[in-house]
Amino acid sequence: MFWTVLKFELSYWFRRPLTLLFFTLFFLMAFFSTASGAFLLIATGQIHRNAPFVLATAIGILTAIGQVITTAIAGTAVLRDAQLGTEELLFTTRVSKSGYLLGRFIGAFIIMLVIYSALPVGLLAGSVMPWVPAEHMGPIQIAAYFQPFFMIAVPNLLFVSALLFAVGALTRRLFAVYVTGIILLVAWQITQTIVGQLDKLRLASLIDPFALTTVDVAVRYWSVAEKNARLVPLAGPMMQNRLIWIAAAVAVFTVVATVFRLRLQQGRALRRAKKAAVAARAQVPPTPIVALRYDRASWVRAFFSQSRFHLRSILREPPYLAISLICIINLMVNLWFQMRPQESARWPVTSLFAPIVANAMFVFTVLLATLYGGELVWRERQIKADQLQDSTPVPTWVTFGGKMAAVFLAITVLVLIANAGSMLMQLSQGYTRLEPGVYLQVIALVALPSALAITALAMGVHALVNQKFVGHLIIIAYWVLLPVLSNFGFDHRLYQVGRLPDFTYSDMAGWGPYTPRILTITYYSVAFCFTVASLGLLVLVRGTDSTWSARRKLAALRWRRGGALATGAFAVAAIAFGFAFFRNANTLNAYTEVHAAERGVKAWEVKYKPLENLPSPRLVSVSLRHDYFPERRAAAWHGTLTAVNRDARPVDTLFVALPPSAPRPTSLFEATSNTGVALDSLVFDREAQLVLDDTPNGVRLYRLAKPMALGDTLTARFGGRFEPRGYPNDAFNNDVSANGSFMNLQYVPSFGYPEGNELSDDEARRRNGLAPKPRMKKIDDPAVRETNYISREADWITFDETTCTAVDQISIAPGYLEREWTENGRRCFQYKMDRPILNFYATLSARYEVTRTEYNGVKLEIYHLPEHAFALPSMLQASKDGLDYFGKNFSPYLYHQYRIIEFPRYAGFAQAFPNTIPYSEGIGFIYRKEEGDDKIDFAYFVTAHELAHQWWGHQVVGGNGQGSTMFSEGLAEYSALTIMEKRFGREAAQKFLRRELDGYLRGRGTERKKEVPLLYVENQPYIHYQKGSLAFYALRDYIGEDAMNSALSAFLAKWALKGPPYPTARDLYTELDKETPDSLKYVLKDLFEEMTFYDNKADTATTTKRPDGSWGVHLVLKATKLKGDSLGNTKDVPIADYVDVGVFGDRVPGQKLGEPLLVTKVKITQPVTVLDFVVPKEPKKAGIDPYNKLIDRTPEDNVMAVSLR
Amino acid sequence: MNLSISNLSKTYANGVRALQDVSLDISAGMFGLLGPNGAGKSTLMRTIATLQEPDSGSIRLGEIDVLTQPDDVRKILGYLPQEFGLYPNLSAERVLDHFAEMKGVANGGERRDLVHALLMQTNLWDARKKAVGGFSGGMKQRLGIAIALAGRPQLVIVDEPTAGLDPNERHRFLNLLSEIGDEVIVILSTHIVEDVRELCRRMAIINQGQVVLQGDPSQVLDEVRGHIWRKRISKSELVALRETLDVISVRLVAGDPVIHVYSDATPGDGFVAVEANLEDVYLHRVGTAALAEA
Repeated sequence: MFWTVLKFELSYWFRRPLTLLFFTLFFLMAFFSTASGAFLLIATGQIHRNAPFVLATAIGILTAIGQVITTAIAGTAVLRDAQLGTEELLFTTRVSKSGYLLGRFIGAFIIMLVIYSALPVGLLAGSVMPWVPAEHMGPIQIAAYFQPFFMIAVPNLLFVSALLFAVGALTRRLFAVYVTGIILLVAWQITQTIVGQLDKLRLASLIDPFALTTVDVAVRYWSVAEKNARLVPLAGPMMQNRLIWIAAAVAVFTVVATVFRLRLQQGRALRRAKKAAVAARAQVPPTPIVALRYDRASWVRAFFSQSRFHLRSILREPPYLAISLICIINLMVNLWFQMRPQESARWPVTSLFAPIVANAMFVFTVLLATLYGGELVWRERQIKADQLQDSTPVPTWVTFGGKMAAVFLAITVLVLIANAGSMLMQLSQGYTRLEPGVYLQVIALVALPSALAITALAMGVHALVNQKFVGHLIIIAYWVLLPVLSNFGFDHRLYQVGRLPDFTYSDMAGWGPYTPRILTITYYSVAFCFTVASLGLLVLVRGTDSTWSARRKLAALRWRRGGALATGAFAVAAIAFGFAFFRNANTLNAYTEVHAAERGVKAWEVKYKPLENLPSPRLVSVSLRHDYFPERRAAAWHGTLTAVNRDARPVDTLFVALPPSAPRPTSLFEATSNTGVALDSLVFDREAQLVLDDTPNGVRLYRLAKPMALGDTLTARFGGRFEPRGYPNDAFNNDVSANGSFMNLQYVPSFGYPEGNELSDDEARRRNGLAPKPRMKKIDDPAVRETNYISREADWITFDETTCTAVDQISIAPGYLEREWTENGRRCFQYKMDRPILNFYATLSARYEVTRTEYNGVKLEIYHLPEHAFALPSMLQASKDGLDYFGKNFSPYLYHQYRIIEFPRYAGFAQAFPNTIPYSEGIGFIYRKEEGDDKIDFAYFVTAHELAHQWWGHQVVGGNGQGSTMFSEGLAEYSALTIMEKRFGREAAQKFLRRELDGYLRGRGTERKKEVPLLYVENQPYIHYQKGSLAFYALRDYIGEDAMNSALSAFLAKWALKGPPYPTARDLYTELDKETPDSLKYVLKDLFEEMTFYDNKADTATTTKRPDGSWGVHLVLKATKLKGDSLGNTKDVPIADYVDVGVFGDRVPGQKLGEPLLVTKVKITQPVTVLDFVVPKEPKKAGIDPYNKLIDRTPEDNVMAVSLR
Repeated sequence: MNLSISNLSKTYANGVRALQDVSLDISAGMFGLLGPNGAGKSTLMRTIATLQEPDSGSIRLGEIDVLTQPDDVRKILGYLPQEFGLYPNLSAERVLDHFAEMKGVANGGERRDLVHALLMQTNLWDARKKAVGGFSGGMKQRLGIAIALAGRPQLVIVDEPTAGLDPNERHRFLNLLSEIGDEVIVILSTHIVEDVRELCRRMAIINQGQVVLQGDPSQVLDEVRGHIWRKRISKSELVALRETLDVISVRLVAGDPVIHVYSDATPGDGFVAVEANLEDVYLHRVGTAALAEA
């Protein structure tokens, strides 16, 4: 019996063209994953497209997407008999339950395997395509294509098939199968979110049924070389995950086998009607005469009736309730983890939450729209009430429109509940400023219009296609491919109908400039989708003939009766709004597709790079007058620049660099123009002839009548303005907003070729025929000391600025406030610096509340939104602690003020200008310090980091080459960590370092060029921030805090405010070297000059109680030392290092490892070291390098629990 | 009002010639359309009910050209298809109300009264709140006819309504039909001869897409009066007799076959002349056509 059923199932599917379609679909998706770089986007930078983990991830993703297919095959295996009515025939034969179930399941599973085998084949085919650039592909390892198929795809498939098969068999309802699929996808989403928590990585690895998170975690710390070569091993969490989910599949199947009965399913809750007895025909009233109306007004009423009718049935359906529940759960998980990104914690402000709700709901909106759109279009036909309905005079638009309205309203109900849930989550965190108005605005502007468009589109497609499953497939394919469109250059929003509009809602600036764009693109989408729905309505089947000739006739009839008008009206509206958008994005804001923009930049480089070495005068003084017009989002400025020729060669041609308005790439996929920028005037104090005017590309060349000799001074007066018009396709220039403006010096002209404007990404350069450029000059290149890395055009300048803004705003620039006044309804401030600064300044403005205090003669001021007072105490405390410690141990603070200024959430960083720290609304100001010894106060940390920059960067600044960011960013990070540890204790610092270690190890794996030792860092964040803090902290631990501070203060004493010649990292190294004893000089070398890694592990830890009450501890420790190269290949080296060894007792507050019973540095010289200690109390944990001071690729295995011997 | 069908033809994509040049004239009152399974009855019914189009021919309902004015037909049409379902979780009352609105009963109060009246007429009043999914076959058919009658139709089409109903339900249903009214055209399409005989004043017989007979039942009987003979035979004789005589029906009575034969004169020994009935006419006609085809 089993074989019969199995053979039938196989032949059933093999005969259907749908099977071939699925196979082809999978093949194509896999093919494009390797043949094209832009499809799935897993491999970036140096990672090969066929790197084993990339292939594994691709297969994992495609099995997740391919669930839709699994639903169709495995989910319907038993369901089909119920649908077709063959159950009664089948169950009364001699077929056994196990024969039936196993036959169906294994048959379906085999078909799935055949279809899914298209994946490795497609991946392989894509890899050998001739058009793929050689550097993107590694050597073809056949194992890399097939191992993930067996390791990932097959168990995934087994579990998903078993689950869907079971649900289909037990419920006999297709909808329940859909819902199960959705639950699976959400479960995967949740695991991805949990991965953000470092200490839950293992858990996340195990609970992901698709093993995608598992692959992610497995390769998390692999270097680029390892990622390109190593197969993801079937070991550890991966092995456990696969076993768990295979076991789950077996368990599920066992449940089905037990519970399933070879019997018909009784429908739920079908109340049997009593057999109505033949009652005596008591007074039967005659049929009343009713008015029959067929006019427009009554059909409109019928439309509302129909919507209510269908809405009520949707709201009661278990699948709708289940999908809604899953949506809410997914949302809550999302919101929860958004409050805690990467070990930090934020207050759940509405400006953070409301957009998240809109975005998280999007997928579910699409799901509900397509599932119910399809269901409703097919409803009457499925229950066989279609002939009854079609023979009534009700117009088709009434029933179709009513259904559309019902689906839309069902989605609206869910949207409202989701937003309510978000508010509840806010309240649960003790945050009461709910701002329901903002939620309503997001709902009305973004969520509901998009839901309307999606619903119309789904119903239109279903009406057009007239095949329910194909309709679902088309709609889901559209939504899956939509994000991919951008990657292929179709990032113009007019292509991306129905996509949720991009926006940023800021507590400071509110909706900012986004509203007109949102409205236009939304109306365009809605009109477009309604046009599709109109077309669908034209050809929607009515009656029993579903051939195209019948539908054509119907369409002709409907076209004449208002169909033309409706379709035409929607189409015209779509065109009109599309045109409005086009005018703004393309005409007013010069939309350019990213590759065209790259070509433009390449042409610019080819034209102007030959002028790179023209001698240019260096700025010595900037005097600026700045005007903000917040209500217009505009600004204007004028000022005077003074520059001196420090080059022996005379300057006869001035290369003036201006802010370009031409399009430039902002990412791999998008480009932006700055069309609002204009130069009004540029006048010199001597005769200068404009010989080349390429202002749109930011270049002007002037020939000086009389060349500047060495030491000559030049004055230039300039004026410019920024007035944005309309809105662009993607990123706005939000430097100026109605409340919250932040413009830096990039708008001011400068002298000399701006090398920073070149294409920096190697990939982009190669694509455009440019040689890759070295990231940075080598540290020992003498040219490095000639300029600093912050500003190539100047050394130290004198600076003053007058800035004017709206009368209710405060404007700030670096310097001390000399004067404040009001003129012509505007408020002006005059600032002046009393000592030279780097050529690095910015002007800010907003309606601030100012929190002021004074500390040791320094004015501390925080300019912020009145509602964002959460983190002020932390910021002030950090400032005070920093001024104390840095002032005492490094050098005196140079200024009399320290100001922190909030700016809108459009950018998410903090930046250190001289005594002025702009700080984003989205970080710091909404950070929350949670209770607990191991919680990190991020507001404190970031404030401390930026304050430290007043020393590292603004007192001493490095030359323009390798290593300079080591002592600006690295020391800033280290300094902040130092005072944080003093304030909050070792455990907080430990937790922070652990995070830094994670960041460093992960960053290595995404390196786009090559990794370098810390001393030679080339502006790579994962090295100068993360490795920097690890290295300096470790060094301090070895040589002691006093020695460290001596070295740092000596460095400052020697190099502060000097330049040119500027210091390099070698100069800091020299100072550190002086303070390092001979026995520890290897540490200095390991940390800074080379890339050193350890694989330390506690192998055995046992203890015995001694007769005198103390405890003997026996430890076996393993230690390996490795040195790495630039691609991440490592080789073992002999070890002769001092490493911490620790024994810990019971847990105590402030010590996560336990009370330290013994911590000592031991010289490790062997791969395996055996040690014995005696400790006073019972040891619980012990290990090697327990505080993770050394860079270890598997930090969790350093410490283990001690077992009693 | 008159329904005249002229030269209707329809061939499906798989080659089946469902209607071949069918012409019928139907006036008010009960009209029976009799024919075996696959004769083309349902195709014809659906075409009149504006649910599908023929390849050629025309239909006029009074002043209305049915094929080009489907909306006007639907306003006065009540159609009960051969196979239909309803929203299983909803009550009879709710379902009837839903369809009544779609038929143009716009006023909510009037609609409620209409629904109540119809439910009483069809004896579903006690079951009005029960979910339709649990109805028996007869109850479903009665609800179906209530829906068909909800829009005050002038043309009612019922397609195979009593197939599958037990004798009680069948009678109840036919009673309902008979009360519909004499100004309304009611077309009863069925293969059950009894139904036509009980209710219809005029009838037609259709087989393999062609009308083989049209008229009123008594006239139709004249055609075969005196030509029907009956004999009780043994099973072994059946085959031989089939070859030589026009055997129009074979029935079993207590295990032995009893045959009816069409013959102008007595076909032989043991044959008795019997009063012809409609079934004889039907079987004779349907058989003849089938033979002609072969």
